[in-house]
Amino acid sequence: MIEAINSFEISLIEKFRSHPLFIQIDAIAWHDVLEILIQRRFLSLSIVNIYEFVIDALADQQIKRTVRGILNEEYPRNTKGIPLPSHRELLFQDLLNLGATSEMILTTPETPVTQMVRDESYKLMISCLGEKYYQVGLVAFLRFWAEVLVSVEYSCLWQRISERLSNEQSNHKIRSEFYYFHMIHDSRNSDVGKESFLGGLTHSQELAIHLQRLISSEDALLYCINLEGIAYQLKYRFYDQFIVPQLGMRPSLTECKAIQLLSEL
Amino acid sequence: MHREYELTSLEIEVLMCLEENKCQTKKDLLETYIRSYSTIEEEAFTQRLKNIYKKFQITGKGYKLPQLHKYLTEKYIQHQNKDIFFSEIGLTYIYPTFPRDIFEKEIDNVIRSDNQEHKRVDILQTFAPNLNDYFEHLTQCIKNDVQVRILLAWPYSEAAKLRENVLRRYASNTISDEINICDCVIANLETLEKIIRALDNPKLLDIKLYDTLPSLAIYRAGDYMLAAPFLHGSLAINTFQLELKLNTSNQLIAHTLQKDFELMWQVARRFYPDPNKNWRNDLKILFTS
Repeated sequence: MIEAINSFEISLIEKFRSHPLFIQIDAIAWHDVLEILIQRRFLSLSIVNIYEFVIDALADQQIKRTVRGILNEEYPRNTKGIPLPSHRELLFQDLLNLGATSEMILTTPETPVTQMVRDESYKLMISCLGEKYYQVGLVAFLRFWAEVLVSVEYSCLWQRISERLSNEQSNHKIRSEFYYFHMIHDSRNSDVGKESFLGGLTHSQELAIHLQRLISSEDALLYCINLEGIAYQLKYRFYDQFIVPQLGMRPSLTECKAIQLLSEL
Repeated sequence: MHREYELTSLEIEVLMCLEENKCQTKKDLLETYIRSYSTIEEEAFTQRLKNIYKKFQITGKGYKLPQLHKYLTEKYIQHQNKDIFFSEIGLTYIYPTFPRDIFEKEIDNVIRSDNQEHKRVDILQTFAPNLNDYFEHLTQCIKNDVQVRILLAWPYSEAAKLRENVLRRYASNTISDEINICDCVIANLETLEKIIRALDNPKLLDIKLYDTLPSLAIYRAGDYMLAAPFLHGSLAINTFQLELKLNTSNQLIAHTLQKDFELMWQVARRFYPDPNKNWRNDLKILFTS
């Protein structure tokens, strides 16, 4: 039964990787790459709320423990309890190292599409409450939206990010402390139900173990597949905003605003 | 042997007389006994011998004295072999728990040694609860040309989680209820990070992490080794420690343990808690990428 969700996920990932933006990623001006990453940061910032929502909504203690563990990694401490830079700070640092200014990152407004993606994602989780398979549904959504696709997104964007940041193979570039690690440790890495005992588990795999345990019927499976499909669509629409249909690749956010204004006129 | 068989002191005298003089008959033994030890009536002597036969369960048919003699000789040879065997394989002592001061002295010996082959310290643990105790010693090792290799569990491995669950469930002391192996390994890495910072990127400190199951906890300094099992009921440093010499004629244990260490070293992955890097992120993906 679980094979159905595996083949579904693989097909979604393939389609996601084929998004026009990722296909043309090499052609995008550097300034626009930064704008995409700055918009993408708004989704990263919302992850904590998504995780907190799922923790509060879940009743199953085992999943709660896993989800809590992943969330706590966002705010690491050393073993003396001293807080270390959070993943949010590392994201900010990576953006600075990629050439964004502090002002750009802090003052660029969230676009209506980015906001819509965040809002719709949150509403989707709320819509799960009261449903028969709400627990497994929340895990399926969380895993696909906040882990599996995140890793896919960063692996597509890494093609450009790696022009300026390294994964430590290179001595000439500054190390990526955020994008690279999330690309690896959020990754799907294996089919659901095929997690290896050796080598440890990525976040996606940690959640996949619960997914497999809780998908007890065809109905539960279909419910999860449906939620993953919506998560995919939301993320796909996020990247759509950087493409202007008539003009191909959208030149820049400023010009986009001009087009928007013109169309309103 | 007398404790094992609950012999009286007078019965021991008879056995000693038998062993010393190899008497084949009761009459010979009685005469020798009277001459060498003390006077005794034949009837009392016979009774004493009967008691000895009973305690040694000499119940076969025929003359019992030769049977007793043969039994004692076999036992003696077995006992002697055991002694030789243990020293040959290098087992010199068994401590009830980890002998902290003794290992410190052995590290000092390695530091002072002129023999380059002895100048190595190896530690194999899931995490070493006593690593901080050796902060100064390990620092001195590296300053004095000693190669230090530390092999610990990768904290995010399923094997580390399994060990944590086993300790939480079965270990008797209360500390184990709260044990978090991930934090414990990271605490070890923080200690090693301090050494790296103090010595400015020492080349002689090599650290690796494994995602498999460890064999035994091993602390080696030159030719000296302490080995302890990972029991369900306690941390490896809180159980018995086999003290071993590695330069022995019979390499049964020394070679096996060293070979296993080298195999684990080979399959483990190098990890360097560089004080100037955000190494916790690297740690998380060490076996994923």
